Amino acid sequence: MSERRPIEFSDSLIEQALGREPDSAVAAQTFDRILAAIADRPQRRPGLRQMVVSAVAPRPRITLGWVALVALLIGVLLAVAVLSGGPRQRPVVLGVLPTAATTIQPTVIPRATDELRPSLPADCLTLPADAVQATSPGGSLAAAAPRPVGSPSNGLIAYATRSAILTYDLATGTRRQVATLRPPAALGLGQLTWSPDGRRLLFAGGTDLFWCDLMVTNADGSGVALLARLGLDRRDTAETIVWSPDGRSLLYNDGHYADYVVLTIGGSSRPLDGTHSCRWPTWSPDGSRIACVGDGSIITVASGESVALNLNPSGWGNSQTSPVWAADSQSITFLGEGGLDASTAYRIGIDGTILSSVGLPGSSDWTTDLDLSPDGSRVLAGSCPVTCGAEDFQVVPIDGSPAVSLGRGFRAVWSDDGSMVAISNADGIIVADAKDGTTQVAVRAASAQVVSWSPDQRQLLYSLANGQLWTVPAAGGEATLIDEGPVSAGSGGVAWQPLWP
Amino acid sequence: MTSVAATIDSLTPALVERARSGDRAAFEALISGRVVRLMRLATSILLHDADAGDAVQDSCVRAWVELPRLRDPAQFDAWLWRIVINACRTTLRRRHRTAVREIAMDHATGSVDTPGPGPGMSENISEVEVVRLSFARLDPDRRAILILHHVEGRSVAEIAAVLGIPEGTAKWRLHAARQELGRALKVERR
Repeated sequence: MSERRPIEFSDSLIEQALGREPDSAVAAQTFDRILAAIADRPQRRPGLRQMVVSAVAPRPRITLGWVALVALLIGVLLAVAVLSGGPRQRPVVLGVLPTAATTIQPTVIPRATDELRPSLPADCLTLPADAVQATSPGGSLAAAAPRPVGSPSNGLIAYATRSAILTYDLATGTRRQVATLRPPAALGLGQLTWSPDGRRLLFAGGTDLFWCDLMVTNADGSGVALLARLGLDRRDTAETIVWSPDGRSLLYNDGHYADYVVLTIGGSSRPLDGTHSCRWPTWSPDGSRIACVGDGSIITVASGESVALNLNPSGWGNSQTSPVWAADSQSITFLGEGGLDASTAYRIGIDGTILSSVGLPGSSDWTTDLDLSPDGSRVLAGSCPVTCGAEDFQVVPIDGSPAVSLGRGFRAVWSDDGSMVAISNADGIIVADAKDGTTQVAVRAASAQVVSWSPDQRQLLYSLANGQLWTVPAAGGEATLIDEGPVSAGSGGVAWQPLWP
Repeated sequence: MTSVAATIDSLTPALVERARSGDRAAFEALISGRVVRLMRLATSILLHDADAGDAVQDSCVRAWVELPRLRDPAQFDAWLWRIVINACRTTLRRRHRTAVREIAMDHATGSVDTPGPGPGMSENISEVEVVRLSFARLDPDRRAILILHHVEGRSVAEIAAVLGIPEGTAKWRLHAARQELGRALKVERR
């Protein structure tokens, strides 16, 4: 190949190359959509429901006068407590102002019948009334069976094809069709999410652009039920559907920019007021609170009280990474950022107090796809050289310990226990030890993309470019074909059942 | 190229104040003059018209909802631009999380999957197109800072305000982004 003339690297050339006008039709449509979206959107105003905890707010100076006043108040309170027969049992919650009395009327989720279906959002092409059907005997649409049925064994893999949801039992090689989608096949299924106890499987139905129906089924395919109409105008908003730790409730958003809804299976639903801007919601281990770090708030589920986390002068405590709750449910760890600024690992108490913040060295070079380890102690980060086809992955402890380099690839996924990371690269999938960075090849297949780990960390689930779904032992070995596909590995179309007692 | 600061309507502060108090018409007026520039920014970062539209829509609706919390109305533009950049990063994260990347067979030989003709590209491809292909190789953050400076004409101080970083950091990052674009150009011309 002949040598080319070097390009004169000038400002004008950059401006000419990058200064393209956006598609005017798309811009006009976007403007119209914005106006339509704000037409019925209330603004968020600070009120009694929230106390803003600011990292930059000046702290009151402590003087002898204040000390004396506080001591006097404590004395008076103690005296009152003694006179009234002892201390009050009610815990004091620091940092949360009293919530204005709000009556939340529970909405009973009705049984899913055809008569209830006409209340569609006008722009949502939903599933036909009879699109989803149970394959088990007597599997009529019974709203959220009160006694969920477990699977024959642990280790079911649920996956969506273009027309059905199936489960595959790795132990027995048994494949079962859980739900089918009748023609027209232009509609799709996805967003598969197992309940934490592995006994129920949630999924959504919709078009290529919209999720419309939120459905649930028992693991054996019985009790398929319509839980809610979503009416989302973008599929990715449905990523926010999360189960409570006890598997009895769901948190979801039933419309773009709408408040979140807490739905108790077989029971009622209620909105969580003021949560429409919530991003990356995560339920605390004890189920009492939900952290939304994108918007920066911690919400008490029972009362709806929230504490806003206001971490920088611009008013945004933005984060692109799901938070990790401490095991005692008293604090969260998350990665905060401001624009293109370097990442900072924050640990914040449930009252909004910043317990610690650590700047992460080298983070300005990281790509946007960061993941905290399951225990919140380390960050899985990738940096992108000039040729961004692959990232250099590393594990960075947030306590300042040296980073561990893992190798280059396209996608990296933590194992559930945080001990290993699976990385898809040009040759296949490697498994790296998160502590020392040693790697071993799990499978050699040029287009293999790791999807998830099995809950016991022994198997890897991966897809190929031709749509096939496979498993392989993480330590390497014989791979097993789960389905010829094409399987909808994106959009949450595959999920490995958690271990259940 | 005119400074963005100079093009900002002198009515902006008053419109922001009205919009903060719930005046939708004022917010519409604020957005109408900015949506094309926001789209240009988002399209440059995301390299996808529809995703850019979604990101701008998300950002503007969020700006409407959160506007009463904006402490300094004079910072409206920097605030709005930052929301859009963060929305783009969120979109990229979601795209990365949910999409199954189809890997071309030439990955096995060590080439990359970034857009571009690579070896064997046409001799008569324009320099402008080579710059565009090189730009697509950059990290989204690098793309953002180059667009802010070279297309929107923002000064280093304005970029620092938009990104919420010190001016020195903005200057260094702009320099680094240009260096990286230069390296990408060399790769594209091989």
